[in-house]
Amino acid sequence: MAVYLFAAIDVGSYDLGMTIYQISEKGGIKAIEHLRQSVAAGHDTYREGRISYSHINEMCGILKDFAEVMKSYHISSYRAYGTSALREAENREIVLDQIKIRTGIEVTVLGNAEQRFLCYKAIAMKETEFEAIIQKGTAIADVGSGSTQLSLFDKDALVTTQYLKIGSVRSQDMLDFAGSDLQDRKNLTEELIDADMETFKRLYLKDRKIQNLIVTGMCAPFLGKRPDGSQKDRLTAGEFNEIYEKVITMTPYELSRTIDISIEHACLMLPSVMIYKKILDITGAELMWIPGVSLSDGIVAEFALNKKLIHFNHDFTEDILYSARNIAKRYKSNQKHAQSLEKLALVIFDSTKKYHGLGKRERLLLRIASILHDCGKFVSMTDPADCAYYIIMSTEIIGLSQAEQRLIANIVKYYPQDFDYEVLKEEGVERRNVIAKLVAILKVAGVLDRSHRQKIDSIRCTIKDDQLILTTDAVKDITLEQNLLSSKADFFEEVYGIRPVLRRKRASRS
Amino acid sequence: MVETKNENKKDFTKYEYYRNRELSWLAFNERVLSEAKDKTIPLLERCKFLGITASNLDEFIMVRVASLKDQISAGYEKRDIAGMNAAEQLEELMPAIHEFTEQQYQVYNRSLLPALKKAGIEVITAHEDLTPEQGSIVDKYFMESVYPVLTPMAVDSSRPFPLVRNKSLNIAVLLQYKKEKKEEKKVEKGEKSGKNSGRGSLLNHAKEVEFVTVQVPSVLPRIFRFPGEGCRLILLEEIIERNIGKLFLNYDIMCAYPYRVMRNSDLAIDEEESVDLLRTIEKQLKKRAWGEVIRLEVQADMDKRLLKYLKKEFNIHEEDIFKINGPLDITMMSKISGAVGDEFAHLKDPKHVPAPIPRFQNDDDIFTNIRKGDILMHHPYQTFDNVVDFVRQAAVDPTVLAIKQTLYRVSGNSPIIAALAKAAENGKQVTVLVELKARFDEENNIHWAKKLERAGCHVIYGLLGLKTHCKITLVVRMEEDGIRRYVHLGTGNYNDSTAKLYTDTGLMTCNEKIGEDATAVFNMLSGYSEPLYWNALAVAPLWLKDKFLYLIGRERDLALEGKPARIVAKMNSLSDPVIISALYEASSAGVKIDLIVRGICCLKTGIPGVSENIRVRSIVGTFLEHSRIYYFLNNGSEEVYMASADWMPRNLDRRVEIMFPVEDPDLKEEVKEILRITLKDNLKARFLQPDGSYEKMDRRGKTPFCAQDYFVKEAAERVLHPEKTADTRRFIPMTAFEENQEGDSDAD
Repeated sequence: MAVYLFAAIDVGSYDLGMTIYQISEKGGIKAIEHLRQSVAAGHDTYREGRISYSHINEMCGILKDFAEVMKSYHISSYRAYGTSALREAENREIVLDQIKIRTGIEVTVLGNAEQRFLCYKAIAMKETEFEAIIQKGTAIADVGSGSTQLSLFDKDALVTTQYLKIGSVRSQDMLDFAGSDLQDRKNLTEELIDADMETFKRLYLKDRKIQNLIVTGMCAPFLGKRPDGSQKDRLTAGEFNEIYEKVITMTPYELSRTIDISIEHACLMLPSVMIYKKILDITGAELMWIPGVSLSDGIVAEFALNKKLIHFNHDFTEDILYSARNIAKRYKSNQKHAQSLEKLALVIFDSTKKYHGLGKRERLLLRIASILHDCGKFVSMTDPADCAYYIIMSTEIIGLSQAEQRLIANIVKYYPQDFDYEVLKEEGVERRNVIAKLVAILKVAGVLDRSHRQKIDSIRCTIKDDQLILTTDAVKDITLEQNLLSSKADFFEEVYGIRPVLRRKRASRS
Repeated sequence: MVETKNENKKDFTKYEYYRNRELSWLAFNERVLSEAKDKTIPLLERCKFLGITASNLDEFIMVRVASLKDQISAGYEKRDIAGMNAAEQLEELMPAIHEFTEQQYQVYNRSLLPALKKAGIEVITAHEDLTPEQGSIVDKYFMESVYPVLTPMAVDSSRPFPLVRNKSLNIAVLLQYKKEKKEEKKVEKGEKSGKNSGRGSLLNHAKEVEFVTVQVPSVLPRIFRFPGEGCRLILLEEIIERNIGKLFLNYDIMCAYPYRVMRNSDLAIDEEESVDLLRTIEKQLKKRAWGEVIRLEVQADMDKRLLKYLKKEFNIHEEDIFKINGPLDITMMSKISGAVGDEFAHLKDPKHVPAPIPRFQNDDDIFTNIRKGDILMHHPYQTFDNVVDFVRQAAVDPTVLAIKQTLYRVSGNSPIIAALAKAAENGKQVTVLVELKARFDEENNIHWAKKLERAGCHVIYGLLGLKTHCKITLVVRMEEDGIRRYVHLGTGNYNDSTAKLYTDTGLMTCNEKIGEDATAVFNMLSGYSEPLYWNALAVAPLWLKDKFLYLIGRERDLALEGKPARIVAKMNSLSDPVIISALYEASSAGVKIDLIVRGICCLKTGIPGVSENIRVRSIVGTFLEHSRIYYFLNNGSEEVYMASADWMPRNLDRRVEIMFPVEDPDLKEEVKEILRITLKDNLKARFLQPDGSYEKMDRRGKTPFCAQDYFVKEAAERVLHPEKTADTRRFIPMTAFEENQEGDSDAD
């Protein structure tokens, strides 16, 4: 039986962690070793905008130790991800370079949406409990050191996910000016949290009924910690409130003694419980589930899924699409048109595989681009392409990396415009080619539903004599589409070397 | 957990409820001395016990007495557990130590020497008593073997008083130039001699009298056995004294007497300040020899001038001078058994051969055997070889990825060290924590540490500010179905020599929870990770004490609820005030507590309303009781733990220690059986009395029962009938302890 060993490294804002996992078909994913060392790099970033050299040194020392541990297991597969402290640090590239040179470990910085999606995958790894929980209105509150992510589920569908720039370490740092009086700090933290949370409530919660709250984040597991050392993974709102009342009156020292956590963690407990409390209050959830998962669990889940070492029942692609559709909905997109566009684009994509050589992931990006292609119209009817670009670039789409998000934004931007090779040079040849290939497909699909009336419901594609023959059995008049295609087919031909032609299927004689 | 209602909470922390640890230690050494007096014990074993009391006392003075003296000179006024400051402790302790020393020599002179003679072993106590034939034998020995290694060191104005090494035996000599040479000498020395007001002339009236000191060489055996028939022995210093004139040909020997010094050698390294711990300790070792002299032993009849001179040179107080009625340094009594050879085997305990462990008696490798289920080991009744094999097999096993081990005190030529080095050479990742701060073993430890480093092992020299005392080995294997971790946890050191003498318990397991914790322990020790959580182990200094307090508190709460509550704990020493106070509280709530504490016990029994439910017994026997076992009834869901830690502040607050649970139901019964049998002992067990003394049980009408003897037989029996023995141990009801609590159940 094949057993893979994998190391997931989390270069966090507050600590560095590594978990060694064993993955096998029979045993699934099993963590076999956890390592963690505190390095408050986040303090540097949130206060000064850059990570100090002493912290870089510390980080390198720890990662070197991690590398030693990996070596002892003869591990060659690993993923090392950095989160908000690195993401927001001005000297990020220097830090990454130093780490690579001094430890041999290559750290990739995750975009917030990617990071949250990994955490979400980690939760979803607990399949039975997760599927049961999300049958009722559920929110996931992932309280990190630099930010909080709030995601809402409706049945088993991810409705929205929002990034709030309030986290345990960040709020501590924002209160640097405040004294050590517990009550003062509590009041100020409350003010900080309230501002963001109330907006979220107004925009996204409205009348939505949330019954369950899934909580993750560095301090989440401590919520369920009992003085006898046992761990509870479910708390009622009442139980949580009791804990909250106790925590906010304790000094970090008292707290660390009571539930046996380090002083550093105890310091972060106050802002964390306050954020959880606020979320519990605004959502009105009755039950809290503490799945006790970490980013590393998400990292390994992703690795195992990609390598097809394990199989999940839950469809994560659907989550991403659902999330994109919700964004489109928010910007009043023409949903029917978007659906038609998506459908037609996919037919073309699937039948031109030999020509574009792209994979599953690009297929997903094309779908998202189709879904979001006209969100710019919400802002401006005259310049929808640029507006769409900016909307996509400033909206979180869970599960996508920042690079992927930019790729989609560019596809959407050049969908109605002429492709600008010069401007897109900065994306690099490879990425620019992907954009070009997907734009070309989308442009053709767009022509097919130019009328927004879904006249062409389905098409069949065949490639013959350097032509991409799109055959439709539409009964309505398709003259407009045929004419438009002949003028808009140039770019497709430019990219693929084949020219799209639209034909109506001959009616069979009855 | 049930909250205790303590409206009228009693104060269990009063000084009067506690006994000073030094006085309690002395009482322990008295128990060892009692073994030397015990005529039912083979004579040469009694000699060993006397030797042990002497080496125990040496260490006690070097460390504990020295510490008290340090406290006084530093003006440290803090009171101990019993409310005594350092001066008050010394005031009580010093007369008691003098008294104890007298007892030692009474045993030596009045019991052991005559008994040895009667048994055919004659110790010639003074060289003056040698026959001419014997004299010529020792003289020849002196010239051939002793003389070449002697280095007399004289003292005069140009030669300061030499370094007299800690614990070394020396001969102080006063000598004078032979008369016919005196005049010549004077001429040679001229004015210089006349002006001499240096140390040599401190011997007042006679400027010509010189002081010389000669160390009795430690490279030669202290005991010399005369060749030929019969067994006659003489001590090395007597041989040197007889021949001392040969060292100073132009001098007359006025007198020559042995003396011995003990220096303050409490090794207090400020770890925060030392960048390189290793170097610091090496430096400290060199410094140690120069420590302040805190004890001077001389023969009772030592020349007064000589004594006065030494007293002045060593700057020592009268109460720290021990005038001995017999040979100095009777640690050599442990060596008599070896010196007399096998012809006196009848005067020794039969040689103990540890029994094999039935679970390993098959053709399977050690890992396969551990996979079949946890394995309990009870040393020295059962062999330690499998622990060595564990590392040895891991070193050559192709599926082993890593071996991690803590080493505290290892034996010379340790097979474990050799195996670890081999593993590293075989490409395994080997991490070894060598605790350099193991008392008096630093030199030895540094030697092994360097050897391991050369072999490619990752050697860690302990944690700053904490002594690593836990005994744990982790072997990580990549097996067909994934990573599997094999762990050995023990109560005793990885020392194959002491494992033949110390009673210890150990567990081998591949339990996942323990494996994960073991990994976390090593990640903590190597600084790779802060510990995140513990599944099964309780680790000092941060977690263990709280765990004990929780376990004791839980029994207390059960007792308050009217449920049966029971604690049985076996350890080497009990001196932690917080734990003792928790035990008092539990006892007053009605918890029945049996403590088996070999050495120091600061807890007092029989205090009305405080410790009436606590019984303390101490077992001093052939083997050194060393295992630490903790049992809690827990309302019938019994919990059994073994640990590297005693209930002492140093173990719970200043050391890395591990307590591990015994979860396998069969093994749990086996460990309970160890406690049950130990509680049944009515031969070697001595019970702590309310006045602090220890008394043996009144055995009238009872069959004598010695737990250690029982375990020896039982281990052998298990080899013959492994199944049968294991079966009979299962499911012993919890009342089994109750029956024995009064200590009156008959062995039959």
